[in-house]
Amino acid sequence: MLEITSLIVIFLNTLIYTVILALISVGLNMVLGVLKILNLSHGVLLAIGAYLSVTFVRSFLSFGLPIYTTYIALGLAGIIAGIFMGFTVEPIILRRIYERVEIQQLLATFALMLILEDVIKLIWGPQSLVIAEPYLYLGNLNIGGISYPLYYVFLMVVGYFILLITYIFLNTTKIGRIIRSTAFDREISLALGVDVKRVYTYAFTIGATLTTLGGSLIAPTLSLQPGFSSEYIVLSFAVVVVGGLGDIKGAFIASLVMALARTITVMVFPELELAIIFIIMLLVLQLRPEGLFKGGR
Amino acid sequence: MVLLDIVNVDVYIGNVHILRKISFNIEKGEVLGLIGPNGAGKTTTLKTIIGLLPLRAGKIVFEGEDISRLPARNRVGKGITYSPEDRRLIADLTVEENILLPCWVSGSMTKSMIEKNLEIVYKIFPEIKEFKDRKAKLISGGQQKMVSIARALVLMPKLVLLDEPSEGLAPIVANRLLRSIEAMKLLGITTIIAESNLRYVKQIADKIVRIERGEIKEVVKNA
Repeated sequence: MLEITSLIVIFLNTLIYTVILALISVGLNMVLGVLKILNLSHGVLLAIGAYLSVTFVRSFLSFGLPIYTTYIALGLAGIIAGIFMGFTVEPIILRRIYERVEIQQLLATFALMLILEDVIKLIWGPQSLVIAEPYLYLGNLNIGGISYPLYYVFLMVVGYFILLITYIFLNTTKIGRIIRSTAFDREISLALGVDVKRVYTYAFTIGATLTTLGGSLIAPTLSLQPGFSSEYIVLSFAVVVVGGLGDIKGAFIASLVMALARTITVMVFPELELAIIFIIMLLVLQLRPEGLFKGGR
Repeated sequence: MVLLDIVNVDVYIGNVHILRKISFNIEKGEVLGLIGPNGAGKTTTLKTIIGLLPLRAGKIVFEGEDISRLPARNRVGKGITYSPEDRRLIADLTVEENILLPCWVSGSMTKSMIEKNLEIVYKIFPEIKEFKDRKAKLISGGQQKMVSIARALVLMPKLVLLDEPSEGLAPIVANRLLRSIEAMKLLGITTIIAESNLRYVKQIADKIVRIERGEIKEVVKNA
């Protein structure tokens, strides 16, 4: 039987994995829901957030700033990367392919993914990069004799806070409601006077920023190598399928379901860690293709 | 004084020629009934006026200005609004949020202006107040129709385009809607009503334009 400490660790791991998946897949689903485009390059945004964090954290430290300021560096890197990508990729590339057939959109965003991957190599090089300072600075938490990195708790708190802010923004602010209206019905939004082009840019920027912030938050926990984000993007596509295409709330709940399934599988059959996620995805595609959390077929 | 002038307008959807050199105009403060059977081009005409469909030839003149190439949002800014046939409310927003959406989009309305306009809308449709906090997806079809028209009115536009307002409504609700359109007329709002039900339109319209297969067949004053 599992001990209480193991259960706490499972619980924490699930919450952490959920928040990482949710930051990526809520962003991906927001872009899909509003812009109606499946952006295959979305995962690279995670990498851009993470790599820019390396630059920012190292710069802060090289200026002699105390280590605790590196948390500000992580946040700044995530936000700046998201805003920059949002205000460049959407108007310059995506806006030109909205009216194209889906296969052309997929090919264009796939090409964009490969280009951005190479740009990352060009700027940060092919070697592994590590920024462990923010991770090590917080030390460990003792849970019933098990040492648990406190940075993960920080990541979890900040990540859920970002998701909560996003939820409040979309549900209580005027611009949030206008974004939701545009996602729900583009034509009627146009007829109500919505500047749909601008809404697309905002929605893409918010979706991108959620993901780049996800990248900056996980950066101190990883050894960054080109292509490291591929695993996350594949997982987030699975989450989007399970939660329902374009359904932001569904993406969050699906992230929780997938994270829980993965964490339990790691404890019982670690070899099936990734397989379990795609087994769930295949089951959902077969039995409920509209997603677990959308209305009936 | 002519408010809107449609001049020799041709509209295609894909390669299909839908509107064929249609021309008619509407005077300020008038109610115009655009009548014709299903598929005659009524909805296409309204969508072209609001800017959801591009015209290939001809022009649309509003208050003396050619608005043919203006995007929909600029036409809304000039005072043209639209209530579609199928209501198209935003299901997850409340009724009042749906009505307020155009005010939020306009960005130039003060809080007091919004409150004043909302009050006028609730005077025209007092029953909406009773379910204003419910999600739009949870109200009946007739209620949704009223909300859709209320949403088109909240900016106090110069011209309102109503697509099949009586369709699917119980006679008592349809008659209630006529009284609301009369109230709009008293406020000086010019209205185009696209309807397949001639008898319904005759009760309220000043002018009737008959459209068939994308062509204007008749323009008559309604006695």
